[in-house]
Amino acid sequence: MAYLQFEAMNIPKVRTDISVSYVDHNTLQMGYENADDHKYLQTMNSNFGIYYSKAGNGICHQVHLERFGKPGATLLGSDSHTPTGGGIGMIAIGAGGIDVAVAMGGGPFFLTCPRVINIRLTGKLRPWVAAKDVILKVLEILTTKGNVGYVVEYTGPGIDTLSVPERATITNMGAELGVTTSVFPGDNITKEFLTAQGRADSYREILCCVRQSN
Amino acid sequence: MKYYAVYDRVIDIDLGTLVPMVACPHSPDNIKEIKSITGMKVDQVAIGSCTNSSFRDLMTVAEILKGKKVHPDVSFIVAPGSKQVFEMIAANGALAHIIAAGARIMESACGFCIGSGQAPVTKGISLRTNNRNFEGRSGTDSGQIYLVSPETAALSALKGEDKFIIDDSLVIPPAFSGGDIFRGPNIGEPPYTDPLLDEISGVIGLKVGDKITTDHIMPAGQRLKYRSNIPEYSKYVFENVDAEFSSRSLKNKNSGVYTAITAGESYGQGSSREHAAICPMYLGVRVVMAKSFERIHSGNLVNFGIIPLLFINSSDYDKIKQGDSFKITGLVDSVKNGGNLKIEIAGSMFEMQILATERQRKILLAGGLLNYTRENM
Repeated sequence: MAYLQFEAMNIPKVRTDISVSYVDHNTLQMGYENADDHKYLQTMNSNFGIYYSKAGNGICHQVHLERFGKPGATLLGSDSHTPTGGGIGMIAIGAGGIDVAVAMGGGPFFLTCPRVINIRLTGKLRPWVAAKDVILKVLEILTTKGNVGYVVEYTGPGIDTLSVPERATITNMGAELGVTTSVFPGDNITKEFLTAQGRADSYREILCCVRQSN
Repeated sequence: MKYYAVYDRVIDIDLGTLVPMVACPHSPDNIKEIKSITGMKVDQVAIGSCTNSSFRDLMTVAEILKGKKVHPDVSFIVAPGSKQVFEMIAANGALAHIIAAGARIMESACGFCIGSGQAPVTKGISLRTNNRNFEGRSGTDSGQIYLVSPETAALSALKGEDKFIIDDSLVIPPAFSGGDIFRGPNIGEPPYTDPLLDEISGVIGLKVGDKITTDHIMPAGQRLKYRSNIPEYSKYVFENVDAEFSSRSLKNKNSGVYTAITAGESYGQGSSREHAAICPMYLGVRVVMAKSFERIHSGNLVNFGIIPLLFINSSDYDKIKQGDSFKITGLVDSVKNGGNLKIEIAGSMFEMQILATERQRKILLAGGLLNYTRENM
């Protein structure tokens, strides 16, 4: 739908650094509909300068972390779990398809200046306890309502014990809080992940601020 | 040099004090400690989704399952998150441990998380590593979905990996081919939006409670394949809340009677699926009044010309009944000037706040973001 809307704006090509189209939600082909939609996306994308990630290549947020995400960059995605990219130090925000289509056309994305919640992590997870349990704890504290207009920034010595995929699990489910996005820094752990992905040149250091009251 | 930050709110969490947790049916914030629900018989376990399908997650699972067999009464689903993850666990043998244990291996895709396959058995208890457990989202209305970590199913001593397998052959690079764009019969037109009417009258077509999600408004699962076809997809708006809503609203619209929706707190949680605005617009919904809205959905409503109205007195919610008539006059001026709006419902006047920024008010006046963008490009 975002691509139909992009076409309707009569812009010859995308005006972003990169745009990627992922086929991951509709892959079961019980009738012609999904297969037809995939072929539409591939032929449309190859006309407007858009990467096309075929069905089978993976879930958009996982693949974007692996192959495209960059600390310090912004990411607008037409899926509410786009903040997964916060695990790699992106400001990654979910929006409606038409907001994304407008951004692909070079238009700005408008948001109300967010308020910031700082979650400071100390210590180290014990065996059997996972990053998932961290975000479930946060959901217990903040619940799924009343958090509109906030961004969560994770800081503290505890973040040094969490790998990129663990951080991404935490920022991913920030969507369930209803916050605009969640973000970890771009640090040595991010650098190691990007280097292992053959993308060391995508690394940029984005460090946490120190809390004023410390 | 140190930079100092000021935060609106601060929360401290000591990772060393945390214990395994679970989000119980039917909300991701219905949190309990795992130990409080042990002993519950499980019908299905599903590992995957954008929350927990990384190489690290899958290696954890493989280590745990090595040499073990899944319980005969459990259907065990695994969907690696990407081709990279899938290929690496295949190459290093971890996938063999998962298969040998009795897993059903799924494609790298959203799959069970959006109800696209693997719906649990009737009243089935399903432990999943994904992010949402809204009622009915799994594809089984009576399904009981519990959200947990991959580690909760088992324990692992994990070693890191210093090099990933890199093969982007399934990513087609950008091009400007000038070739034909394929449009099958399922590809419809981009959604149209009516211009803003100055006077709207109609009926409160639906009254709902708190935490209505976009899955309630516009179901995914087996209906999602219609998302390029608005008239077809619109048949399923609020399908699991009020199956008659769609046909009733469309019939009303065709005789000039528009629809308003009344809701409680946190309307539009969940997916960014803009069809939860596009399809109601198609059915004649022009106003949604709620005690509070979620960010992406209220933006989507404005983008497609539906006015989000906030109750100024939340007790007004109790005075409004489904089926009441409503009337708004002088709407163009109210949207243009901002501020509050007067709406007549069942003969009484109510004052509500138009939830829109200055730019969003211009979008409403233009009849949606597509029209607004074309006018301002």
